[in-house]
Amino acid sequence: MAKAKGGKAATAPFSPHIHAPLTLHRIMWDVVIALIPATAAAIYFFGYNAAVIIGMSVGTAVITELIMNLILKRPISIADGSAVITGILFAFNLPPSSPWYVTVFGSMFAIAIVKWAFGGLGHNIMNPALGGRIFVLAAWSGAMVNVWSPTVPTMMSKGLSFMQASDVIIEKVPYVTNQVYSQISQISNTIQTNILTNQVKVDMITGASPLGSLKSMYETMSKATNAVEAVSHASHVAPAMAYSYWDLFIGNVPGCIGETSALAILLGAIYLMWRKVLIPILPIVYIGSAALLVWIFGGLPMGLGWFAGDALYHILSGGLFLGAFFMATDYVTSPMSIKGTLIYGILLGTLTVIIRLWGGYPEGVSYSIVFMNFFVPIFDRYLKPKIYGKGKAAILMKGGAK
Amino acid sequence: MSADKIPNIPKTSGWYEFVKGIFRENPIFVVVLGLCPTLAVTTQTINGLAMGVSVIFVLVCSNIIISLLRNFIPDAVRIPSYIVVIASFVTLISLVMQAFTPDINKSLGIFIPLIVVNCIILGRAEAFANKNTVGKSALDGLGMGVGFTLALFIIGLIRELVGSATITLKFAGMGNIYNFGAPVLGDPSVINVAQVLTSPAMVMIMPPGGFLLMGLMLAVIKYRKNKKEEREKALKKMAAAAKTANKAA
Repeated sequence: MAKAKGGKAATAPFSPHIHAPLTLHRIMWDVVIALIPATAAAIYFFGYNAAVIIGMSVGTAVITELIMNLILKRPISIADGSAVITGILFAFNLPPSSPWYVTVFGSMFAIAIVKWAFGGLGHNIMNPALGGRIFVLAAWSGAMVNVWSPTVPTMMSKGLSFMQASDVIIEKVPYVTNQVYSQISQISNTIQTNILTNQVKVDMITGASPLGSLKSMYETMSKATNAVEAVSHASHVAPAMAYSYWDLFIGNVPGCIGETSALAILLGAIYLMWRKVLIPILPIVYIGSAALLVWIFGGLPMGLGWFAGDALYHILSGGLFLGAFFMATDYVTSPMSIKGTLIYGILLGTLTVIIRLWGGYPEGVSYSIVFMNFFVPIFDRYLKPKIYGKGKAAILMKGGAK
Repeated sequence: MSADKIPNIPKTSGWYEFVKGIFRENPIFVVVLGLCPTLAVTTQTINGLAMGVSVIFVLVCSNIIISLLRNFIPDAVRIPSYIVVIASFVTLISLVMQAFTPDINKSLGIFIPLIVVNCIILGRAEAFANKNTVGKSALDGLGMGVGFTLALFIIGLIRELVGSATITLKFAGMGNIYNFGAPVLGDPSVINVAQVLTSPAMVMIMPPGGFLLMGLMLAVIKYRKNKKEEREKALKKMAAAAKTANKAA
């Protein structure tokens, strides 16, 4: 695949050039189209405020892009769609209840600092949307961590209207209901099942994200000295354990607004593959290596031993699908060669699993992608594809240009 | 041995030596020296000020002593000798701070002893004090110290205001904390000025915020400097063109 490296591509000196129909504008707007299913899912699962967050983020991103163009005296680049993508992806990384300043300043940071301070599209050192997310995570962690609310359809099934449920998410209206979760089937874990089948009652769904609840489960396991204590510790994380694989797949679980629905993300990804914008090697390697490692090590923090992790639960929850398909594959910040892509994907999966199982945060996708982004120039430097598809020796024998 | 050293004394006034450290050769914003304490201690306005004042004291005293000894210190061991002089003054100020301002000493922590290896102080000793007279060295140290303090004060002010919505100017029990965020009641030293920054961006008082702000400030200063140079170049070009045109005429 041709790399659209912004300014660099324009000055590529070596001929002959093959004219490809794949232009920067087409790629970017294709990605925007591919994000529509996930946007729809975000609004369906997290109410009208998801639309507000996405709109605000995109608006800020485009305005910031325009201002940076004017300040830096560059051609106006808001039409190429890259700012729109950054705005949408950044909004997808926000919790549904995030306040306006998180959305606006994060989006501004993503465009102005992560992208334009390094020279604009093609020169950003990391994925702008993830840079923005990490900034707001550090700046307003109170608004970003442990703010997960149940999804709108969950609340609608309890008799609330769409607008009411949306208001609950942004904490305009309190939401109290009694729930008994007695059936815990999806976690293949005897200890958890023992704890959770003790008829755990909750008064209010404050909802941990699926991964957040797993994380507190690990901590509970390591701290609890006896079964009774474990039950009392685990009671507050119990409801999150009730997410079925189907809910995780369609996205009916608490989380950031755009990341929960694996289905919608897959639809977008299939569109991109059909348009030949996305080659799915990196996502497959990333998700595959994460699944494999979770399967091997996932049981260890719960005391279940090796090869007992619930890989499906892990890959469907959190931002792994969004990260793997739309963020790790960003042209600018992913390796160019196949070999580099394979190593990059495996390292991404490894880092994600390490952070999820043993790190301080429940989710590790954004940090692992940003961390690995810094190594992409090294991959590109040392894992160059062979010139004309042949070895060095063949070229030297033919006396080719070197 | 400095017998063969050519006395390199440029014709400059003391005032020039004093002012150059504040703006034209500001140690933080222009020379970019001593970033470690700059980024580490500027989480509160008062910390930046205290650090700056300690550096002024050490810088002036060590510059005077090193300037006095400049003809006695052999070249081969000059760096260890400078370090000994600087370390004595740092020990002095460290003990004084421990005795009289334990709060600030606590929040500055290891960065007070680390003044010993501060690039600015060693840099001024090496670049200025060892070849200039005592008076000029003292003024140079004072100017550099004031420039350093000013930079730290500005960075600390911005970081604290954005990062925790306060401006702390409380020194050894005197002064106040000006609060711009959610009102704090019950503490007489806290003045609730306005309630405008209710959700401060915590990242600014963390290390990444320091780097971000520093980078942005350096970028703005560099941009202005470049602009100025371009303008001067253009003016010179115009003058040259006018001269040739005159000659031709």
